[in-house]
Amino acid sequence: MTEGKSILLAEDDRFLRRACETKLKQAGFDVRVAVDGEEALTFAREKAPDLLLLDLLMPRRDGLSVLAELRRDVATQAIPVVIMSNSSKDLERQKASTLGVVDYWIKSNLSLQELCDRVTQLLLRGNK
Amino acid sequence: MRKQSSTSLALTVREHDAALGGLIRANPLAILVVDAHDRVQMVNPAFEALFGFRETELVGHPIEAFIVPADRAAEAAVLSRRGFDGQSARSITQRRRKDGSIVDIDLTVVPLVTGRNAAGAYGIFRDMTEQKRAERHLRAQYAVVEALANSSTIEGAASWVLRSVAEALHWQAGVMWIVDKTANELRCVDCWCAPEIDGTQFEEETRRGHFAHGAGPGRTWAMGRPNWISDVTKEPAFSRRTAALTAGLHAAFSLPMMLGREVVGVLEFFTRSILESDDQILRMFAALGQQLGAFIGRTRAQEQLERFFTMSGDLLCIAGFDGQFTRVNESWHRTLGHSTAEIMSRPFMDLVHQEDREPTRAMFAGLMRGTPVQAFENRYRCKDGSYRWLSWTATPKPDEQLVYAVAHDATARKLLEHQTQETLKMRNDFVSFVTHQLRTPLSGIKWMLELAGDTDDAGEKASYIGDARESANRLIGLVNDLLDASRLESGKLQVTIEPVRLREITDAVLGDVATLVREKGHVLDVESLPDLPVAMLDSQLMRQVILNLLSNAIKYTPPGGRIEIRMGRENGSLRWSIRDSGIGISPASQKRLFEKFFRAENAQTVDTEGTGLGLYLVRLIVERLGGAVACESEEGRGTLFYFMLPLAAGEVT
Repeated sequence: MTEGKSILLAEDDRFLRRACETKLKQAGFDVRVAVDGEEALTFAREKAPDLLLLDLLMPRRDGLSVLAELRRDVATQAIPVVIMSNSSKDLERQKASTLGVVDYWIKSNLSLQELCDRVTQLLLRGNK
Repeated sequence: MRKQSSTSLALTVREHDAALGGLIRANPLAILVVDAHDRVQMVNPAFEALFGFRETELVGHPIEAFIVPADRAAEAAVLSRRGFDGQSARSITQRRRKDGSIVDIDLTVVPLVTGRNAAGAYGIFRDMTEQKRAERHLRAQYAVVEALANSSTIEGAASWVLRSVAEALHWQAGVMWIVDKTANELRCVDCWCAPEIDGTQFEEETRRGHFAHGAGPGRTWAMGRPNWISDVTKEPAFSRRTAALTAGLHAAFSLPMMLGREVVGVLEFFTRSILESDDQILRMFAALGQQLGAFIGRTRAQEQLERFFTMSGDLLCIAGFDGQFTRVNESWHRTLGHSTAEIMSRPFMDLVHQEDREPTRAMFAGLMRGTPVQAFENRYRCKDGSYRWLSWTATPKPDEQLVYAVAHDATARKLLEHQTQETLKMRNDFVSFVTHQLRTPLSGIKWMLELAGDTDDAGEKASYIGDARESANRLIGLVNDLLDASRLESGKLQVTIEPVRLREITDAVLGDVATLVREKGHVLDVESLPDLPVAMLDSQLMRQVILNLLSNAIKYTPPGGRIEIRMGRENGSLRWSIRDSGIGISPASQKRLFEKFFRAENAQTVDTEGTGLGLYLVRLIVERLGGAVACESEEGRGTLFYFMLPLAAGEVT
């Protein structure tokens, strides 16, 4: 079951943040939101989520830097991370992949439902 | 002992000769028989031909009266004496012909013995003229070759050539003319006169002379073949006649200097004798004309190459395997600013950029092993300390231990390449950036509409649709900015110029952002001259400028900051400024602040929605309206932006 699984959503755009948060909460996930990179890092360290949905281009600290910081620390290095970006730069994809991510999604190509289904699938797989 | 009479001596000789099958009479050598008193007994036909005397004129007379020149009398007497004493003798000497001319001969005297006594002598003469002439010609040729070998120009060789040839031929003056193609005339290169003649006037006139095609020596130029004048003083067409007369010059000979079939110059020689055309001299001179013409051709070819070397915009050089230049052209000085002496005085590696020395060393080592170089590039230091990129083509010549190299100044191309790469990178960055910036509001619209569709709650539905609309507005704003920038760049943006009150526009924009200012808790302070002049501007564009600057000030100033707007006039312009107490801009970022898509590093950390178009548009608009915009800032302390705009015509006082 995915009920009650914790998700940390790091997204600086308030519309996208609101949409994702609403949809995932409706699906029954325990969602916490971070509005920039620094916040994302702080929240992840406070309590490691079951999944981190991480935007790349964010104020104060970008997503790749957050990811690198998490991977450096034993307490946070195992957090499953999915990059959710609207950037298709190969270099960013490569860097993320090197640091270890579960997947890399382009937001504009997903509907909220698809997003929610993928998250559910990931967390179910993690259960086994 | 019976004294033999002269007549009988001649008879005896003739009898002997007949017995020997006409050994004397038919001999090609000139033979003379004299008695013991040196009186001629007989001469053979070869003698008659050589000296021009008939046998009958000579027989019975002492021979020295006819053929011995005054200065050879003693020598002739000695020779005769030895013959009469019963000894043979030989001498390379000279004798005189009937016409007075001197002939070089090889003379052998053999005693004529009858019984046991020397009754007279045979004189056997071999004509040495040809041999002597050949020797002189050879000497002249040698002198010419030597003169040409020691000179790099025809001017340098001329004097020596003229002198050697004239002296070898016993002629007294020589002139060299060169064809001046521009003036289409012959110009005197040099004139040589033997010291024994009074050649001053002749030389002066000759050196001053310019001859057209067909006139004077120009005739030889026009004809393209040698020309002989037996006596120039009798030649009305010869312009230097009087001078020649003073110098005592008579016969003259001129010949063309030929380069292939082209006449490139003319040689003239003069002698004191009056002489008819001499085939031998003609032949020898023809060869000389070819030789000098070819030399002129070679020196011209060399001069042409030299001119290329000097003119070339490329940097040409020859370097030794020891790493020193042995020759560089002017372009080195022109390109790098060092003098030629400075460049030659040290190893060339000293001038190579530190970072390029290793590859340059490797390249040079390859050259020394015999590998030519193409398109090698390195940087050379200029006099002013800057560097220029040089692109090299080089060929080694191992037997000379030299490298011949051409370098092209590739600095401009390198810069262009760099700029092109920058432009390409910028375009790529632009595409990914714009893609990202477009996708974000698009995702917002898409997701908000999805949520609105999923809910039945009217209040929620309206809220989602409201957010979708806001996302759509943001998207439209971005697209409009991109379009404006593009139109301003291409000059296609429609501008409506009208009298504008800047204070009114500022106030209107302030009204639009009032909520934002309040939310961030900024203190706003606006001051303007009470009688602020009216400016001729486009109010829509001005609005955009002020909005962009004001939005930046609000956005990049931490909450509770201070923003001051000032409006006034300065040096006949309108000055509008905005100062904030925000995060500031680093000096490096300030330089690029008004570039398209440029975003300061610290601006990114505050907000990621910025497009890097705002300040770019501000600059384009202000410049389009004939003004200028600038910025002063200190990181962490705040920023001042100001623009100046020209006043309306009536307002300028």
